[in-house]
Amino acid sequence: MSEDIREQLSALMDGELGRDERAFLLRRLEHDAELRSLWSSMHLMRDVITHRPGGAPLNLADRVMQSLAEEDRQIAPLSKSTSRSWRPWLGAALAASVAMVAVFAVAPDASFDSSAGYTEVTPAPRAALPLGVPGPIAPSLSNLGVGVQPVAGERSTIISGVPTPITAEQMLLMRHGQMVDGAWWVGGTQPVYARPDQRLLLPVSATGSDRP
Amino acid sequence: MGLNLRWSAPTTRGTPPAPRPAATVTGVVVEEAAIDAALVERVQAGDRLAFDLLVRKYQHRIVALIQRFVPDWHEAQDVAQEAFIKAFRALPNFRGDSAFYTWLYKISVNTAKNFLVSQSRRPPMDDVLMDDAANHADGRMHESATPENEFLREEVERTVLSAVADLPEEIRTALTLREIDGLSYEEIAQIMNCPIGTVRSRIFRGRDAVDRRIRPLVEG
Amino acid sequence: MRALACLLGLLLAAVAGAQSPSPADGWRTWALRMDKAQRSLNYDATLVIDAGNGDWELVELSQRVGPGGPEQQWLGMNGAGRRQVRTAQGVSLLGPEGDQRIGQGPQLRAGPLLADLDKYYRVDIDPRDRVAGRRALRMSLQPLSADRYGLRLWIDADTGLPLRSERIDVDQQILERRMVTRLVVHGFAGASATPAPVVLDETGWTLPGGFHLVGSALTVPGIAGARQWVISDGVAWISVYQMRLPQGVTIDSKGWRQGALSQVTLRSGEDWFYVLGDLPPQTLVLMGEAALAAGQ
Repeated sequence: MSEDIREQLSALMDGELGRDERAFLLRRLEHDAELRSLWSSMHLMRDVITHRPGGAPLNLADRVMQSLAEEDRQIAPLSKSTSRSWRPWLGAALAASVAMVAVFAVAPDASFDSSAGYTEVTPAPRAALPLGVPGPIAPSLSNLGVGVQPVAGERSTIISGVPTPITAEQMLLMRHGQMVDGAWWVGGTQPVYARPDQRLLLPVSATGSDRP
Repeated sequence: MGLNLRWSAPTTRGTPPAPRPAATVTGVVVEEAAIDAALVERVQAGDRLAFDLLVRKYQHRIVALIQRFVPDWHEAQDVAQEAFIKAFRALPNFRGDSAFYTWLYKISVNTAKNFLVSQSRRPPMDDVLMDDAANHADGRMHESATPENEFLREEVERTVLSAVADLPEEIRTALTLREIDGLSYEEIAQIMNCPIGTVRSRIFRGRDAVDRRIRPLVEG
Repeated sequence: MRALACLLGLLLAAVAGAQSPSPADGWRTWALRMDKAQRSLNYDATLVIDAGNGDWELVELSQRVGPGGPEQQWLGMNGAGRRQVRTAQGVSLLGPEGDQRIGQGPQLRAGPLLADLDKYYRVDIDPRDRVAGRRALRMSLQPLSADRYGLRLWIDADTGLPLRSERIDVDQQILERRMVTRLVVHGFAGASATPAPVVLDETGWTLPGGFHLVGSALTVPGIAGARQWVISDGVAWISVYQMRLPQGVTIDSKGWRQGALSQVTLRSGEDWFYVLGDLPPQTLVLMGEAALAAGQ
């Protein structure tokens, strides 16, 4: 957590951030437990300094959020509805599934070395893979999301002990993003974070693209 | 500057305590209340973690408020938890006609009253007195708090005030002008004859220094 | 093409030599300042990428310029703890699951193409704007034809680094916004390499006006027998991947769009063309067809 971000948080407390800056910081707060902890701490010190009643440290937020989550679990089977906070992710996953209904699987390239042209692939998993198992790069569009189980708005739960397989499509996207080095303003250059289920892909129509 | 950390807020009978004074500086800068409004808006749009931030912001004040009626520290936390959950459930209907804290305050008071009724205990009869209760600058229910909690509360208070007193002069001045006098960054910049960015930095450095001092207590 | 490249190279060198451009300078000066910042400015930034429909991402981007050119680290603020490092040597993915490295592809710069922009875009500048508290010049590139998107850039007056961008479709709808919300500048690196001129042979390629073949690669990591072409007009960037798939394997997707980035798929016999770029899908189809025709 950089000092600059913490300074922004301090300014946020005082209502001294511009609208956009505020929106982005709030977005970051959602995913940064340490920053939220600082948020609690700074409000506690404000309460003390301004001599408001209170002053004993609390962690009520965790209890409240946990209680809400438990209530949801009890309600979910009856209502058939989904918490609103999940909808964007479901929408993204649905869109992705629509766009990628049938995908192709490319056999792993046996020449994973730098001998062909000027390309090279150097898988560097932290845990050695057994012989015969494909390396971390699994060039298949069909394994979207394997190894990563997203939790809405929260930290991912990594269920794989090895690098998340990269699909062939991610490979093509990354390569596309790499070519315009430095120019982050070029569309498509954002990193692929191996979480394609969170990408909101809109089906393209009227392209006549699939021609026999 | 004659800054007094033992400053007491004026008490206004019959009205909930107002949020921090509005900053009235440049056009892009928003009032602090707008932060609550932005968080509420995000909660209403389905972002549950935004509610987490609101709980973190107001939890101390709400628990202290509830302790006026439910003095037991643990019971007060339970009631506060229930009040926050009620607020969350009711947020879709919150239209922002009043400040979020004013609205949360009313929910908390009602939740505390209902708790007392459910326990066959008698709530205060005078709502004005109830409202006023939250505004007392130094009227805690010391006799009902647990010794551990009371010790911790006093330790936090002592540490915060000591840390503020130890700050370099210009940092302490900026922080207290903001926290105690409620001045905007622009107003502080005029008083201290420095750029607004310097004010922002000084206030942060002050808070950062205090945070380092109280962090072991908070996390412990 | 070679002559054009030389001419533009001279222009680039002449303009880059100017010491202190002011807002009163023309758009070419600012475009080239932007190009210079892209390849030689050291900075840390927090960046938001808003692809519309609630699909947005917050990243921290750090750029350091080494002897081999700019090196970037992208850190996604989505809690997953994954980083991507791009250097001239390739892309590395670093994350809690492990680290992976992917070989380099063609690394390109708009450089020489920038001088020609006004043939295909109406270029306007407004020198009096602000982004993230910094003085910025707004450059608006409005396409003269419907086959490409418009682009608005807010360029930092002090460094030439874009602070904000907006891609706009033919209906003036914003497809994608990117914005710097925090910028810490660590100064320019010393002498930076002049971009290589565009010299690729375009024989057999029929591309929409202003687009040029600016890069190619004979291999694509992980996909046997695939090759890549890169096409640009200085604003839009397109990759055309040609590949043959194993027996019985097909690509069924008609394509997709995410923000300003679209993808379409074409097929000719056993050859598949996977086309990707910040252009309307219909124009990407033309790019795929151009690659297909060039190979015949």
